[in-house]
Amino acid sequence: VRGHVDSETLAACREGLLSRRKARQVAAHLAHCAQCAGLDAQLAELPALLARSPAPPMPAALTARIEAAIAAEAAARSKITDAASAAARVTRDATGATRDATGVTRDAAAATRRHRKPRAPSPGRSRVVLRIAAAAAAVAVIAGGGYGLLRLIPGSTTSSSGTSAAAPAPAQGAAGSGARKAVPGGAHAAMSPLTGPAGLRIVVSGTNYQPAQLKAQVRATLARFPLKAAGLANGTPGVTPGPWAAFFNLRACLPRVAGGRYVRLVDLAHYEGKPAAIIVIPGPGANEETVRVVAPGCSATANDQIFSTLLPTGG
Amino acid sequence: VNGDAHAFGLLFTRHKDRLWAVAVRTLGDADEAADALQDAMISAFRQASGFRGDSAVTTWLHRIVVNACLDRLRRRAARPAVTGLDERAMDVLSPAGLPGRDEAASADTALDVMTALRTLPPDQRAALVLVDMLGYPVADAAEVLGVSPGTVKSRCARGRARLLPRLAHLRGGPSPAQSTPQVGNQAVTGRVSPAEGGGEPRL
Repeated sequence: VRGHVDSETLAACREGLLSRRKARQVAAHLAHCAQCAGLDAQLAELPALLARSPAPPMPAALTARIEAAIAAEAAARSKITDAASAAARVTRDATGATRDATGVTRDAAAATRRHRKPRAPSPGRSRVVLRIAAAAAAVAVIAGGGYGLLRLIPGSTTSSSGTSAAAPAPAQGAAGSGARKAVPGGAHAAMSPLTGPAGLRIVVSGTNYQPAQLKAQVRATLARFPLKAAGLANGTPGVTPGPWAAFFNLRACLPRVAGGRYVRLVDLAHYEGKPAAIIVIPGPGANEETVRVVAPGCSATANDQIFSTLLPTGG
Repeated sequence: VNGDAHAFGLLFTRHKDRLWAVAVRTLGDADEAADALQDAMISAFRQASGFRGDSAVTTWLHRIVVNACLDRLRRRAARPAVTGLDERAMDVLSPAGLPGRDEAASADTALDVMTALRTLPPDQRAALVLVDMLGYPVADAAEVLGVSPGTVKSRCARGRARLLPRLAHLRGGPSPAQSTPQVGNQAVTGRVSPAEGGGEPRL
């Protein structure tokens, strides 16, 4: 060995990547060179040093956010097949969002071109486009209900990576290109519930609602997830393995439960310890809101309602 | 769909902390890690039809997360570099729940480690995060990364050589037992400073 051994050679030697002859030379050098032996000792300690930085557990708010995003995805695809025909039926809602979404359905290719992020070149382009078309159809249906659910889908996949084809975002422009990105305040912004300026909030608060405290608990949840969400600052304790997983019919359930009205909040949580969706709908009176508690069986044909009450909003 | 959603929920619950660790270590940024992880989970959920709780699924899930992170790193590399870590990053990256007296020191260590890791090319970083930081066997890391075990070893070796001068000051403290290769493990007396021994890494 000429001169000293560099650290990359030493590291390769430790991994057994050198030829036997070269490894013998390195070993021979280390035996009589304190400098290189010291370097080698440092290398030996490095993996343990790296292992000493323990990994933090996933923040509860992020767990909830991802669970809600998957719930939205499951809801969106549960009836994806009749998406197109359902979308065609949508006529009454005149929001820009709905126009946008139905436009996408009618001409998926054009919409894809229009909304596609320029920086998302992808090898499987045709497949991606198909996927986007399908997702757009689902979004159209959801928006067609007029519940602002449209926000949910782009919000849940905002600025996706190029790998995943997870960025259909057909209405991303309409949704203000992702509310959660725009909220200042760093980490908390990243933990925002899925929402949009006028959007439905589907949250996973981790609350176990009780009959006697229902009103107070709903108020607390509404306060915790404000419409212009600042984030879930306090995390979400008690989120069990995906309460959302049971609510794959949520998309079909909401129009039935809300009777065509705007839905203010959906909390995929528990009621008396059992999975339940707490749905808040403004009205019927001017200063009140309807709180409906439904079980996972809620669908287009069955309310599966557990409980319902009125919540005075009182200014 | 119902079965898939339920199975996927269990899968996510079981692996979320490991996946989060991979993402946050690889990206060195909590916000980006959160976004990458969410994208990866949605992507995984879309791709999958019928989950099993076996190791192949675990590897596959890790691979999707790692790839999402590497994509972001490469995209970031094309943009002006973000320098340093802010306080927020430190909050998330520093270890939680350690005994009080070590807390500050551990936080410093974690921060130094993250700062140093960010100087590595993405491939080396991902390999080191999996193998050294999170203790995956080389064979598992190779499957996750989709390369040969030899390539993982080589990336780890080059990564360690690069990290050495940046982390040499952190040596000491408790050394948990760690299965490290035993090649050339001679007894060592004097330690040399990185400046004498290692030189500056070429970036």
